[in-house]
Amino acid sequence: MAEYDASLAAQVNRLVERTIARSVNGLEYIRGPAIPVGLTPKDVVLERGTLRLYHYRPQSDEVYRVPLLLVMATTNKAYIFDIAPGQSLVEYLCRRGFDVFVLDWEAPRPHERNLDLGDYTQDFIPSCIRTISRITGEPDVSIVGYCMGGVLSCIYAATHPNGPLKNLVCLTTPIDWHEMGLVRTWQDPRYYDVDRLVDTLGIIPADFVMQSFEMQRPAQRTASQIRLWEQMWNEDFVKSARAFERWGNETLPLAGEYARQTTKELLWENKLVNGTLVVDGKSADLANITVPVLSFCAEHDHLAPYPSVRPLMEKISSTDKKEIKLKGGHVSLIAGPNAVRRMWPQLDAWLAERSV
Amino acid sequence: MADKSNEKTTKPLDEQFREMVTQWERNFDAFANQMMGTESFTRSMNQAQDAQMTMRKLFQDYMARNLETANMPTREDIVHLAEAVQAVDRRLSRIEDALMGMQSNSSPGSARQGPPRTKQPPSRQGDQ
Repeated sequence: MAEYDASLAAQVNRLVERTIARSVNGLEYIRGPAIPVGLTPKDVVLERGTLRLYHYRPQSDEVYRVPLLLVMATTNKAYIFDIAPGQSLVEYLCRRGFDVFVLDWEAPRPHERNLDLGDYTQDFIPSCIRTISRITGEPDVSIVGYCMGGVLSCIYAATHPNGPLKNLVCLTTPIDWHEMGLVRTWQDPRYYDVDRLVDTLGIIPADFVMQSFEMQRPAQRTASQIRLWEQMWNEDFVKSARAFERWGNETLPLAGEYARQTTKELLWENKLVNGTLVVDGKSADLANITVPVLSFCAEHDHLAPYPSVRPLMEKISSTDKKEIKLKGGHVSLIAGPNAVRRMWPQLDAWLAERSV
Repeated sequence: MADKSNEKTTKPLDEQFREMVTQWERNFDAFANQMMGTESFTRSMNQAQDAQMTMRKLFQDYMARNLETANMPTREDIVHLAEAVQAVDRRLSRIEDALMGMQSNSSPGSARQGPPRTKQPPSRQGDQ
């Protein structure tokens, strides 16, 4: 009986403590300023329109010879790679001895509405590589592309078979766009008039883009809020949740021509997997890729489902290639506690062997 | 000891709640996805998006007319100006690239910065 009383008292005590902590953290959550993100020291080394290239300051006595370029998806900010100290992929890679550059995107301005796949893959990525080569003095570079950043990286790799790409890593990169699930259903050419959308708006607004992401997991936001309330006493959880929430809310608008080309040539005509994509007059056949390739995919990825990612390994000509399927979703594959344990060490180990 | 027994009795409640939320999320998403994966939903969704887009465009046009009346530059005017600046920016970027290329060709290695690029993977160092 006494033991039962003590147990009950302890439970009540914990409940009271957590309620107080919830109130304090809840107030902070509502009133506090935006949570700081992207804190790893860096320099902006290239800035042109929507493009930003960051060079992270090395955090080891010596670095691998081959510099590393992370290419972010065009729909979101790249600070997902640097979400918080201790949960930052770039900080981890810097400490593991990599010379890290990140290609980030700002919202395209109205005058950038005509940017297309050619601008992103034949101008922006090559410009970044030239800048990296100038800074490091190295002739080659490894690229890690996330989601649509992976698609752009693949197109770049396929249209530049003679280098200077040394290694290619694709993180949740859709290749077979007919396996894109609900997105393909919703953008059925019989009902979705992409020409009218692009011609009318020029730039696809961020809320259109965000809506299409959120509609695929309509309960996610509510469930996240319930989880946040339940864990509100836990300061670390709240900080992390706020950082991820900020990232999700800062979805970027898209250049109209780029959206049109992506919808027509990738989603409808599936040219990437068919090997018929031509960008600025160059064939972007994935069979042109011969460099070592590593592809990560997530078991519960609803944005780039496994069947859409899988064909990469079949289509490329590389002999050194590997696919790793991990537990988790589209974002938890690259950021958060699961990524720290599962994906990062495997990325480090694979790249280290190929970066000398 | 009491703390440990408390952990054992209370922790499952927390976990149960989290599992319940996760299960609800999965079930709701599965149900919604099934409903949203139909042709009729696609048609309605695109009609709604079309209406949203038309409203946006009407508002933009209305603003443009007002700005024009007030003798102020419209969004289109600013876009044309920005496009001209962008063209200059691209040409400058190409010139900068060419100059940097000439510079690095004339003095190879001068661009190197930071720590030595000599790191070897753990497998070749024989440690770890």
